[in-house]
Amino acid sequence: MMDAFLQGTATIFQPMVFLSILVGVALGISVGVTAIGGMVACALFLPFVYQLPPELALSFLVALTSVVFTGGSITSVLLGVPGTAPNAATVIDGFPMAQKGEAGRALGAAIGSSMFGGMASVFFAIAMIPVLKPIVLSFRAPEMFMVILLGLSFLAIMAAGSPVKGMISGLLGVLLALIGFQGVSGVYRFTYGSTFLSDGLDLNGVVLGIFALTEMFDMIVKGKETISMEVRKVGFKSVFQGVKDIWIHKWLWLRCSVIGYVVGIIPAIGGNAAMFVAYGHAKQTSKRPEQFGKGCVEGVIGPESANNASSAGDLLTTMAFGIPGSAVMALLMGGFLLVGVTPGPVMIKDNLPLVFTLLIGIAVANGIAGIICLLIAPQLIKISFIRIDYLFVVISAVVFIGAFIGKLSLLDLVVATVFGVLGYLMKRFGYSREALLLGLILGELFEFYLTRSLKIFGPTFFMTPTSLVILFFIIVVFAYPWLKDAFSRRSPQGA
Amino acid sequence: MKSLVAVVCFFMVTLSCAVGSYGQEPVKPAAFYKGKNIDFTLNEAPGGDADLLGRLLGPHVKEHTGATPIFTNRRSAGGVEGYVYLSKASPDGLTMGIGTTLPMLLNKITDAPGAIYDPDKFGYICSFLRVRNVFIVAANGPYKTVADLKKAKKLVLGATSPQGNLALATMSSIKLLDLDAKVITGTKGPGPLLQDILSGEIAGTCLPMQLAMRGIRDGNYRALFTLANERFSAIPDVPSLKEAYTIGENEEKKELLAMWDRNLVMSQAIITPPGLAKEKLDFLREIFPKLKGSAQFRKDIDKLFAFHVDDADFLEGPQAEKLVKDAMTKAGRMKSLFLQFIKEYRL
Repeated sequence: MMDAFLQGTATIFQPMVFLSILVGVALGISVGVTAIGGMVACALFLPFVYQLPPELALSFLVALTSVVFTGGSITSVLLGVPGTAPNAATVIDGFPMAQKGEAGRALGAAIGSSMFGGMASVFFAIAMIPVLKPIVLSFRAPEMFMVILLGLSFLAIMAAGSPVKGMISGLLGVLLALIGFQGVSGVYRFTYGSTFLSDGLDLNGVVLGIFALTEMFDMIVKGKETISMEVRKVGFKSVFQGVKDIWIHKWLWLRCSVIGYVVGIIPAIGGNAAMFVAYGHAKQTSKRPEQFGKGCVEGVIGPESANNASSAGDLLTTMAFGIPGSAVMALLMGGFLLVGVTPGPVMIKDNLPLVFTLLIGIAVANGIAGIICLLIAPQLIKISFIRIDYLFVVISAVVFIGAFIGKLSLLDLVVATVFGVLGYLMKRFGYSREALLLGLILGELFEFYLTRSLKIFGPTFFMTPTSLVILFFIIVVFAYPWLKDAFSRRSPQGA
Repeated sequence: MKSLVAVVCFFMVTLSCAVGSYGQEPVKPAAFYKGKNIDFTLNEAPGGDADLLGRLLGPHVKEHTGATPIFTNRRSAGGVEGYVYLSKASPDGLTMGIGTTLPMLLNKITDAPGAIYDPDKFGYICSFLRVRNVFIVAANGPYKTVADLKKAKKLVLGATSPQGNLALATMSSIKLLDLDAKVITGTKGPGPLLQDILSGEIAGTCLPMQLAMRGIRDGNYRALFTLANERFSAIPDVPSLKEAYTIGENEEKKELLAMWDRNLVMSQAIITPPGLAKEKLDFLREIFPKLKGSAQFRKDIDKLFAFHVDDADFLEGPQAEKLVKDAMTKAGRMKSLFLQFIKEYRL
C-alpha cells in the first residue's frame, strides 16, 4: 500500500498531470463562481479529455469537480448567490457578514474551510480504504432512513428562534419535495400532466431563487446602494482574520469536515444534506446561537468545511464500488470508463496508485484553489462596494443561467423567480428559508426510505445495530440543549 | 391601379425566381450539412449510456457530415421529454437524437404521462449496442442457480421505475420462473440497485447486460440467466432462460419470453423527427454505419461498456426501424401483460 501511495503521489507532480490539475482548478473555480455547476462542466469537457492518458484526464476532471464548491463560496459570501446547491447554507451567515463590512473575514473563513476541509477529507478517505466496504454496505434502507431523520432533526435547531414558523417552513419544503413521480408507488403527484414537474423541482432553481433573488429583492426594498454599507479598508488582513477564525474554531471545522466526509460516502445523500447537517451542528454547538443568520463566522466555517469534504468521500465510494453516489459522480464514472479505467473493487486492488493519484489530486486541487482564491480575495471584496443597480444585472444573469443550465428549461427561470418572491416573503415574516430547503432536500428521501423500510423490513425496521446508533445521535440532537444546560450548571459547582 | 401593378410585380418576381431555379441541382445532403449545427438530443441524464455514447459520437458525426452536433440532455420523465421534443421538431435533417429504445417503447406502451409520441413514426438512422437483460444476484449470496431462486420463499427483488425496463423484466422473470417473489420499485437508478444487492437488501434484479457486466467481471455479482432464448457472446457461461428453466408448453410464457427476446431489445438508436426527407435520411443512414468500421470508435465503446460489442449488435436504420415497428404491433398485448404484472408483483 505504501508503494502505491508513493507512486500515486509522484504521479501528481509529473509536469503534465500537475498542469491538468491547475487547468481543472481554474475551470472549477470559474464554474463555481458562475453557478454553472460541476455536472454541466464535466459533461462539457468530457469529450475533450477522454483520449488523454487516464492520469491526465481523470486528474483534470477530479480537480474540476472537487473545487467547484470553493468557487461557489465566493459568490455565496459576496453576492448571496450560492454558486452550487451545497453552498446554500454559506449564504445564511456569509452574506450578512459581507453586508456588515466583514466580506474579507467571511471570504477567508469560507475559502479556508473549503480548502482545509477538502484536504482533510482526503486523509480520512485514505484511512478509510480498508474499512469502506463494510461501512457502506451496512447502510440499507432502515439506516438511510435514520440518517435522513437525523438530518431532519436539525430543523428544530434551524428554527430555534421560532419553532412554529420553522416547522411550517420545513413542512412546506417536505410538501414541495413530493412533487413528481413517486417511484415506489408509481404515482405522479402534483404534476398536472407536466413533463417538467415529473422529476420534481430542480434544486438549482430553488436554491438560487430562495437565496440569491431574495437577498437582491430585500436590498432593493430596503433601498441599499451597495451590498456592504460599511466601507472598510480592503486587504489581506481581514481575509486572514477569517483564516484565523478557522483555527479558533478548529474543532468545529474538524467535526464538520468529518460530517461532510461521512455523509459523502453514503450514496444518494451527498453534499446537499451535508452542508445543512454541518450548519445545524455549528449552530447547536455554538456559544452564541442567536447570532446565526445575522453574520456569524461559525455559520460559514461549518457548511464550507462539509461541502468540500464530501467530494473525497463521494469519489472513494464511486471508485471502490463502481457505483456513483451522485449525479456528478455518475458522469465522472463515465469519464473513468472512457479512459479505460473501470471503477470497482478491482480498481482498488489492481490500480491503487491511480486511486491515490486521484485522492491526493483532490487535496492538491483544494490547496491550489484555496491559495488562488485567498490571494485574489482582497480584490474580490471590492464587489461588495459596487452599486446594486449594476450588480443586479450581473446577479440576475448568474441566477437565471444557473437555474436554466441544469435542465435547459425556461420554466426553471419561473421556478427561480417564484422562489425568489417566496423567499423574500419568508425573510420578511421571519420564516426559515434554510428549513424549507432542508425539508425539500430530505423530504423525498425521507418518504422513499420510510416506505421502503416498512415494505421490506416491516414496522420494526429500525431495530438494527447501525439504526439504533443513529437513533441515539438523533436523541442527542434533541436533548442537546438540556444536556448543555445540565453540564453548565454542574461545572461551576465542580469548580 | 396601384394594386394591379403590385400583383403583376409579385407574379413577375415569382416567375423569375422559378425560371432562375429551373435546371439547378437540388442541394446535395453532403453539401447541406457542411458547416451547420445539428441539434442533438440526448435522452438521458449526463453519465447515462445514451449520453456518453452520444458524446463519443460527436467527433465522428462532425468528421463524416461536416456538421457540428450541439448536445442537449432532454431527460425529464425517463426521457419522455426528449422523445416528445423530437416528435414535434421540424424534420429539417439538422435535428436528431440518441435514446435507448426500450424506455422509449415501454413509456409509450404503458401510457406513461406525457408520452405523446409514436415510436414507429420516427426516422431511424441506425442503432448501437443491441443487448438484452440479464438476471443477477450477489456472487456471495445464497442463490447459485435458478433452482435456488425457485426454492426461496418471499424473495424481494428490486427495480427502478415500476413501468421501466428493469421492473418489467424482473417481473417477467418472476412470471416465467413462477418465483415466490415481489419487486420493490423506486430505486434511483441502476447504481443504487447494484448496491442494494451487495448489502443484501434485495435478492436480485434484471439489468441490461452492459450495466451488469462490470460487476460480474469484478466478481461481485453472479448472472443466473439471460432473459432471452440464446446466450450472449460476451458472457458465454451464463445460460439463457430457455436453457436454465424448462418453460414447457405454457403458451403465455413462451409468448412473454419471445417478446423479451425479439421485441423488447435494448439498443441505443439514433432517431430523427418524423417526416425527414428520404434523401437526407438515406444520406445519414449511409454515414452512421461507417462508424462500425472505425477502429477508434469501436475501441471507445468497448471501453465504455466493458465488453466487446459485436458487429451484429450494430443495427442499420431499416433494421432498427423494423425492431421498433414489430414491437409496436404487440403494444396492446404487452400493455395488458405488464399492467397485470405491476398489479401482481409490485411490493
